[in-house]
Amino acid sequence: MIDFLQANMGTILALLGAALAVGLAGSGSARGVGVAGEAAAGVIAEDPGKFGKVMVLQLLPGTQGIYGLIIGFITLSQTGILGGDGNISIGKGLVYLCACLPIAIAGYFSGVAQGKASAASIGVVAKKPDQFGKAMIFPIMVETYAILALLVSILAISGAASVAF
Amino acid sequence: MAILAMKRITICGLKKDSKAILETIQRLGVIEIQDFTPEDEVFKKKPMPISGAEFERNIHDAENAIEVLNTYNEEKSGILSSFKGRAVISREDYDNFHTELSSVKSTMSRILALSKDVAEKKAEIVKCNQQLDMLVPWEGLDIPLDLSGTEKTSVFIGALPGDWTLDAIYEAMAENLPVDVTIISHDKNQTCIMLICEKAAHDSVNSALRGIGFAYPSVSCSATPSEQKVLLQQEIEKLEEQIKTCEEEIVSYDDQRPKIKFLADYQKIREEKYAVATSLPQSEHAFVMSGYIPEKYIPDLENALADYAVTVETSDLEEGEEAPVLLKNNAFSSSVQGVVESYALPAKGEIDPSFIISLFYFIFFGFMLSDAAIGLLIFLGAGFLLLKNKNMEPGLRNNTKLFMFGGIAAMIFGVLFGSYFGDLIPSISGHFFGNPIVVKPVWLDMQQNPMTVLSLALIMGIIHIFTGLAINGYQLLKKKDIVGFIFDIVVWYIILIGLIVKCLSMQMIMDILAGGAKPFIPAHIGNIGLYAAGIGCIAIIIMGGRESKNWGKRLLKGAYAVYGITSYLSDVLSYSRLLALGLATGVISSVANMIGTMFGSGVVGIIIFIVVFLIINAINIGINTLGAYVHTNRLQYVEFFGHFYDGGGRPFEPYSVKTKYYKFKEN
Repeated sequence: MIDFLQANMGTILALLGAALAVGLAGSGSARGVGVAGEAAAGVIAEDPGKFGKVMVLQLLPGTQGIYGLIIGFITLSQTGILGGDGNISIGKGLVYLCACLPIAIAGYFSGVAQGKASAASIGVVAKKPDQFGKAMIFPIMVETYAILALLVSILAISGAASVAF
Repeated sequence: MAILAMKRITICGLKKDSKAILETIQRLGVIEIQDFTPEDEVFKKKPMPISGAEFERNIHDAENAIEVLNTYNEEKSGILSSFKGRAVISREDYDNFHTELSSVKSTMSRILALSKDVAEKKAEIVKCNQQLDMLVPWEGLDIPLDLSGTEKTSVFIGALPGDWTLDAIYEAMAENLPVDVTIISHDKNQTCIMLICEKAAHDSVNSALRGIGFAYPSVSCSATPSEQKVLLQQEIEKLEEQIKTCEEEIVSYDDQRPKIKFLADYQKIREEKYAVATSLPQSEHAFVMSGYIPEKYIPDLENALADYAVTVETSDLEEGEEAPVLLKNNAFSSSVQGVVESYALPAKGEIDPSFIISLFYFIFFGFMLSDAAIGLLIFLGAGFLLLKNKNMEPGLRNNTKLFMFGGIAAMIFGVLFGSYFGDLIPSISGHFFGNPIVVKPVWLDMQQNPMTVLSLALIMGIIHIFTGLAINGYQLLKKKDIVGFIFDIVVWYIILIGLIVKCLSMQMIMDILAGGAKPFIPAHIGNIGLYAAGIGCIAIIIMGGRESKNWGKRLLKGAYAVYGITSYLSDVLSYSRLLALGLATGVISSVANMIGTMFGSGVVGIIIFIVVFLIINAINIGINTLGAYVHTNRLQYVEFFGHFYDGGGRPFEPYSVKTKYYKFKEN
């Protein structure tokens, strides 16, 4: 067991990073889309004609999961876990783990928060469908922070490839 | 182009022509009625003899009739039919419709009467079924339920609450013997009995039975239960037969559906016309109509009214008057008009941003989607819808055009960044044919050079924001606010450009953005930039709060205005989403390709590859097109509009033909 850990620690750490990125950001999105979906279903019960609009709003918190997937995927392919020998040093594995953290953390919390904002915006569309353009902006404001986290994660990962350990 | 210039218009005509004139103006739909002429002794508003209620009732009936037709014969509607738009009907058809009016109306009321009939008959069937249910416990009885006795005897037929045995009943009746009790049926809720006694004992038996909760059955009939059952079943059959004939008749009116829809529209048009007619000031022989008209439509209106004895006067708006806003743009820029309209229409003194937005919109959209294959699909899809549905409603048409242009932009960026469903071509050629074909990006690979693409995204942001600032400057100049132009616009340009120059002269910034290249701006020029920015800041501290009289307050406000520099920083950083979303599309497609190629290159491998490819890319197209759309909108609404555009104009709402099912075309 110890031998196994010693031999593969780098890969395990990188894998943990990818798991956190996909898992946490995905959970955030799932919760966000869930909350927004509850609100959306209520609106559809009253007026099925608003389906297109509320669906767009419901989907907005779904992007964090995608961002997590991107980071997870880049990590897996760069560390060689996907389609490679998959043997990297502990130091490098740690670097990948850290690089995954921004989107994991910000992805989770922004996904939940964006879901709440989306649900509120769905309420706006229920009462005033013509204000859809403005209602869409509020959840998008939240998303900015997930995008910033994604950006730092991408930059860190693409930098990690050239870090020597 | 932009906001259409509005004029005030006053039309004065003879009352005998009023109907024809109002119809003409309604069909043109270029005037928003607005009361400029006050009532006086000669011109007064008079209520019309016809009330709007009748039109409304007819419209309501027509809608109900269509709904009835729909319940029996749903109109076919696919996903694509929502793009179709309303059917076109000619002026002639409209003019001739009044001859058919009464026949359509009677069809309509016949349909409604039939549907009411059906509903009533269905209710009767329910009632019969209930009676059948109630008869079930009495089925064993071979005398009529309402039999009260013979010459010498009294008969009680009814139910006792709870489950009784024969002994228990005789026991309860002990004081009133002789009686004859038969239990017809029993369950745990009730016991149905028939009790026969002497006529003389009727009253005492009756009270004894009441004492143990006896109740007569809720169904009553002069036939025996089994005969009654047959009767009821026959009745139900008869009703069902009748419903069938009614329904057949309703279905036979299905071909009248277009006419009924037309009637709804026809009444809607007339309703609006009468509402306007009632609101116009009129004298004994003449009427006056006033409102706003877009200047370019004045000749059309004059031509259309040439046959009538009318005077048409137009005049400029009064000082400070807020006219309703109507946007008009060329075929390209009108595609983003919906984006502007869903934010807000320009207020007085603001320009129509549609044209400028259309320049940036597709660059951002393409950058975020940045996949040539997906772009091509979106372009083809939207183009197909546009070609197939010539009648598409204008708003929907603009939005579809927006996605078509967006698709083209995504193709261009996809070629630049070398993404065709991610790395589909190298994956397939490498995996299935063992000889990877490398598709070189025309410009660079986004995934390999994220910092370069990030710099590009930020530069685009700076250009976008500077454009917004310039438009604000233009608006201030148009309002002749020179001080505002210098201190809110020019000084900010100096500060921002000064800071950018300083940044570009610093090794640290170059390390981050350009991978450690030597700064191409020498340090001393960088310092000049810094000094210029410093002077600009001082100017803003002094002038930023110039509307305050108190100097202390003014300087504080000025200092706060300088703090606005952080908002420029965050605005520019916000454009990093161009890179993030641009990467997302290609990476997700690549995920599909990688998963698909994990299952070997045999027949099974190929099938799995195709399935995975289709599913993941369908999701990818949906999510990323939505993402590109909403985030491009956000960049326009928040980062761009924030610098020059508040909106708040009132939309132009012309007196026009507002129909639901048909569009009218002038011949």
